[in-house]
Amino acid sequence: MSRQVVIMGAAGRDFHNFNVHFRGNPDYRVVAFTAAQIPDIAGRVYPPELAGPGYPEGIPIRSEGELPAILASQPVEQVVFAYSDVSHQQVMHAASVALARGADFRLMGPGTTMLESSLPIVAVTAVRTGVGKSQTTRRVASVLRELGQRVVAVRHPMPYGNLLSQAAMRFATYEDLDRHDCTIEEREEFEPLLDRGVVVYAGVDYERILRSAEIEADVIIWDGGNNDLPFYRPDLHIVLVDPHRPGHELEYHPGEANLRMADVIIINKIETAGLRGVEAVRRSIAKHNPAAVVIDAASPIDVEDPAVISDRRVLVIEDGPTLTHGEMRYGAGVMAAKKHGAAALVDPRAWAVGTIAEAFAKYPRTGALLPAMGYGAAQIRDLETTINAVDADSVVIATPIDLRRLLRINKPATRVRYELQEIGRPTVNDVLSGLTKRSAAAYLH
Amino acid sequence: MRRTRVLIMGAAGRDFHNFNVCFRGNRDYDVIAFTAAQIPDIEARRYPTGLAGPEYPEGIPIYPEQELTRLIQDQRIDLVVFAYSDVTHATVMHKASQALAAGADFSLMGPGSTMLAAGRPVISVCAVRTGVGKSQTTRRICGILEAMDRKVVVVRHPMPYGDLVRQAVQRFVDRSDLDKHDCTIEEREEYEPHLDRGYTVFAGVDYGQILRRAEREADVIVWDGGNNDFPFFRPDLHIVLVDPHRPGHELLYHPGETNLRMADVVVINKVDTASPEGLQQVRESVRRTNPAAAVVEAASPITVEGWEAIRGKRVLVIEDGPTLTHGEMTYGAGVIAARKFGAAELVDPRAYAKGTIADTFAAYPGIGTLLPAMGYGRKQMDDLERTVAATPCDLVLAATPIDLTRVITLAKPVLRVRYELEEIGQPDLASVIRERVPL
Repeated sequence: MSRQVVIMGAAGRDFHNFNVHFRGNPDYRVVAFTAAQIPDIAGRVYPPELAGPGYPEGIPIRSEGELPAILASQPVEQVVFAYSDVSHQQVMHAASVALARGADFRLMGPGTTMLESSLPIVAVTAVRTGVGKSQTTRRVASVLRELGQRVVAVRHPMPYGNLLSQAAMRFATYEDLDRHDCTIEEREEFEPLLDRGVVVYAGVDYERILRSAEIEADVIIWDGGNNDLPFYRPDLHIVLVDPHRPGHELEYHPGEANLRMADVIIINKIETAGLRGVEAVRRSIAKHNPAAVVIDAASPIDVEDPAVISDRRVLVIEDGPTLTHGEMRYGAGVMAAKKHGAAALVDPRAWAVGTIAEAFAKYPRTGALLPAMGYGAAQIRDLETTINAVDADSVVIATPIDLRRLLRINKPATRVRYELQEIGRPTVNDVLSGLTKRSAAAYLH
Repeated sequence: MRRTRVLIMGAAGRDFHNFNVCFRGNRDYDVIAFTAAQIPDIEARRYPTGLAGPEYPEGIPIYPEQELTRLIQDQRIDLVVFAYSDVTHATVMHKASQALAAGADFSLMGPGSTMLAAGRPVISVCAVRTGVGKSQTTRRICGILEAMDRKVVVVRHPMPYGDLVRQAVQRFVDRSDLDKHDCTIEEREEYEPHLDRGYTVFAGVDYGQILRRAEREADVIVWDGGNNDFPFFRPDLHIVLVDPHRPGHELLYHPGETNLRMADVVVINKVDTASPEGLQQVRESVRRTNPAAAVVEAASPITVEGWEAIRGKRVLVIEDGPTLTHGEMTYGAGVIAARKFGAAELVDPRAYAKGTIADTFAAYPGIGTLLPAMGYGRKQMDDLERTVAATPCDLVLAATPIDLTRVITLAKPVLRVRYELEEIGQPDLASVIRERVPL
């Protein structure tokens, strides 16, 4: 008899766990997904074409708040928790809800969820959202290309639209971004890699993606999402830790598992963190993963046109998810404003409309800046309306993509970017130059 | 299909139960090892074949928990089951992170897969932390049932520290059974008060067998919980204690929060000695988390026979060890009694601590000026005896649930501190039981 399962997720890890472990598995029947974190996903269906045999209607996706009702209405034996960047406390509250309704509670690990590749895999993950995975992935891609390798990046899923048409997406040009109706969050991740000539894959079915990527690459980079574990078994696992948030490396799921698994740990943002924070994360590393190679790094900001900032009252636009999920209160834009002497940071709250106003209400600790929340056309419109209504002299754009390609800004604007720069030795080049396919047998079980 | 290779993390209690009800005789799983935390002297032993079943002719090895990562990697473990209690949510997740990092899945087993269905009504008494007052609540429940003319049998959460096969099913009717089974102080603390009142107590390792035995002689089974774990038998009435001295803890410990969410009745104990803010915080937390539960407020007043002798004396207080060491309390009923009855001084025994008692102080430096009764074996009892003899004091206040003088010789005059549960106002436990249990 098959056991009934509910998978708690956020339209990413949950679908992957289903695809690799539950699809076509007669021991289990997945009766529902629940969704957190991602707007507009609840109420939908994981389509039958992806769910596989035995699910002619697909699998319903319900909101996480409905979990107790789902567990009360049918005999669910197992609740699988499958999303990331949540405090340990929050995971255990979810566990307590599941246990109190009679179910088992399960976290799935690398053994049951990581796929094997015939190519070397370099994974870039982190202990929290917003530590600097994107610039690290770019750095890794550049170094590998300098070493003469053909590189493909596979990005952790961000499927916000039609799951079926997004099952395995390949991006080589900007046109591919338009063709797949990419959201701002997706563009933020893909564009900078495309700019460097790196092909990017993403989607829902990561087995299909892996087999396609293997055809056109020498090395595959796993470009992690949030603080989740890689979906592919890495030959080199690089994990970022944040000295701005010391202690968080041991307080969030599954970031702590990443910390403990890492082959290489990068302490990023050392230049802005302060010695105490840096020392604290060094102690965590020494205690929990003393075998890891530790790279010190900075992510210096590079401002296109500082004159747009100096002595002006500026509106800063930052990367939304870093602020909302990562509990950061500011990012590169605010740092650029300080560095180049802005007269003031204009608080956009009074002018926020629609979904932007809702984001402020939901994350009240966001500072005097505008989070770029662009999960769909409506949000992009709200973002544009808000930016243009704010009473500021100029705009500082600190999202990884060029927002001006998506919306019209009625004030002078400048972009702020940041790139990873190692401090001293070892460097990313040091750890990559010896990269080989690690024997799967030694690692697998 | 390859059998799933399982490691069970435990502390010689819930872990064995989960094995017995889910994994024993189950061809889908192969339990490779247990690990042990919390209980000294259980490590480097085996769960014997007599309990593990014919599929495990060598039994199942029990390793220290510190070897978790190495075991997962060397033994190619697929699934780690976490099976012990009264640990912070953060601690559970550190273990989970360790398991995941080593490549395994991590699982917590819930009531559906681990509770046994009884043929008699079951009333369970559990808590959100250790040391909230389960024992006196269990006694109170037994008293109410006895007044209703029901034959009560108490089944206690396991505390198996010795020979597991011999302890598979233990039945206690009077104090001689305690000696017969070589009971530790901790076990005596739990069993004696029930035996003194004439209730039969069962405990052991195999709760399937225990349930069948208990069903034969009981009208009602009272599940006497351990730590903050949930019951092994499916309750008809689930009573859960919360502690206004430690507000917030009801949502921070595993599986205490599960108990709170499952409770039919929540008892807020010690309302007489807690701060009004603590009480209010706990009330609100209960209302938010489990609005359907009946809420009973209660006190656990202390009584000391011969209390007049305490005034002006230098007093050595002995408290229930596990409450102090696992429950993060720094004092208990003994200290409260010393203050209430005007002791001149609480004598600090630290300088005089012997052997394992000194070790306990070193491991739990937060313990106050008192002596924890850590009686897991003869050696610890001897150390306790020597420590008391060496400590300069006029009087010993013994606040353990058992009569210490029966297991050790105390060189000083001893007064016992006891406490019983008294409900404050309405609803009370009798009315809730009458309303909700099919007796």
